[in-house]
Amino acid sequence: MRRAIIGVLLAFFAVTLLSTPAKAEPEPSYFDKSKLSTALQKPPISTIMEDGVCNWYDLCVFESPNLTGRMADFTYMDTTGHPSWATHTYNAFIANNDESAINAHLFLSAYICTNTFQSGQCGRLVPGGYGNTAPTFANNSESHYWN
Amino acid sequence: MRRHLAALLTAATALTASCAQALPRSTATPDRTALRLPLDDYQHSPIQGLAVTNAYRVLLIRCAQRHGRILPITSSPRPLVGPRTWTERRYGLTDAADAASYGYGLGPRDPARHPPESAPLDPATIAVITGSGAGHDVPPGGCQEEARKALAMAPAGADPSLPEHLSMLSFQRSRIDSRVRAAVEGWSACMRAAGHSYATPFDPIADPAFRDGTSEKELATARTDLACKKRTNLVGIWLSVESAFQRTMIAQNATALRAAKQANEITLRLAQETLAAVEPASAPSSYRKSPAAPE
Repeated sequence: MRRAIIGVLLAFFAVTLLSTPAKAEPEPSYFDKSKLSTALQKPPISTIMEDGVCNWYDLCVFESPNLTGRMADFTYMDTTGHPSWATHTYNAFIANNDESAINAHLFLSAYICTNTFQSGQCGRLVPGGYGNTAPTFANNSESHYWN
Repeated sequence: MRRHLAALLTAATALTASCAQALPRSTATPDRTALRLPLDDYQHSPIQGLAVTNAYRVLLIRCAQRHGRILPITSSPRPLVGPRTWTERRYGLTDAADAASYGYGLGPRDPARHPPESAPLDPATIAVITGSGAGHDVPPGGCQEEARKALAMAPAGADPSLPEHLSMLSFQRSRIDSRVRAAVEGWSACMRAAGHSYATPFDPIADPAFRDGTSEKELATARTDLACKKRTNLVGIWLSVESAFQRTMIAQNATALRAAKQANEITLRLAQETLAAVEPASAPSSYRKSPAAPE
């Protein structure tokens, strides 16, 4: 009797389980959502070229989501990409410690890569694109370049 | 709860299918052009992405000119910087010709070899480009938005970046897969036997001793690296494992990926048409009429 009850329950469970298809949600991305709109509040972008300020042409990477927290600004005018964030004079703190970014370059896309010297997987931010790093990829960037 | 259980069952099925797939036995390292992942068919290759960027710049220049602004860039196509394909440096160094010429570097495609092209812009020009603080004659979003619309970069009903997103995820999953980890350990042991102490194939790329690809030590290490990859079939195993993950993702996101692929094809076609109209005689052939699938 007990076996029969267990059998019925298992059958019911299996039917219930299989009758509810798993919804195929799009997986999270490197950038949770690369924005073209102004859904996120962009930080003020300065025309003054100096470290610590997000300028036009910079790739500005933040240690917290929504372009908040301490920021590392990689200046296109200094280098057209950086092969190893951990060795950058001012911005080493952001290596494997990033959760959002904005490509403030007006004319080129920025590619942020999981490993040094443009290796591993690279995520693209179009000119003016910005977004949060998805949880799966947060704190997992080591180099970038513009192209 | 039922959804979670069902999702777990789906994931378990996918994992079983992935595990059940036979790994390639060949110990030949596929050459660069043969290194393709299933999701590569759905997204722009680096070269195609560059074509879109080049077209975007052309449209930006035109728009700014209409509003009386000259941008500090030209409409000439920019050369490719960085990897030529998404798999070229995905599993570390893979290309024998590059290794022989540049070691672990990118040679002429090294971003550091390309000086910045742009001069600082005045606030009025920035306003025309971005639409912020511009006059009434500049549309909302400025020339940026106009160029994006002309290239259909943000279409309704499709997320063009979905293939890249999924590709990111498959890469991360593959890195921690037991078969890939075993292959990486095998490669590391092979390198160690040759006198090089690296835990992963990304470590020699990051080695501060290697910077310009000109030292014999770097070139020799790169040769050993590729020989060890061939002996342990690291690239073949990694590619096979990640391909299985991607095929499952494609099945689970079929509708969204079809839309993304179509959107990317449209954007590429619009970009090619834009570039062809600018310099039909001098535009590189890679910008013309190539299919959305990467080279």
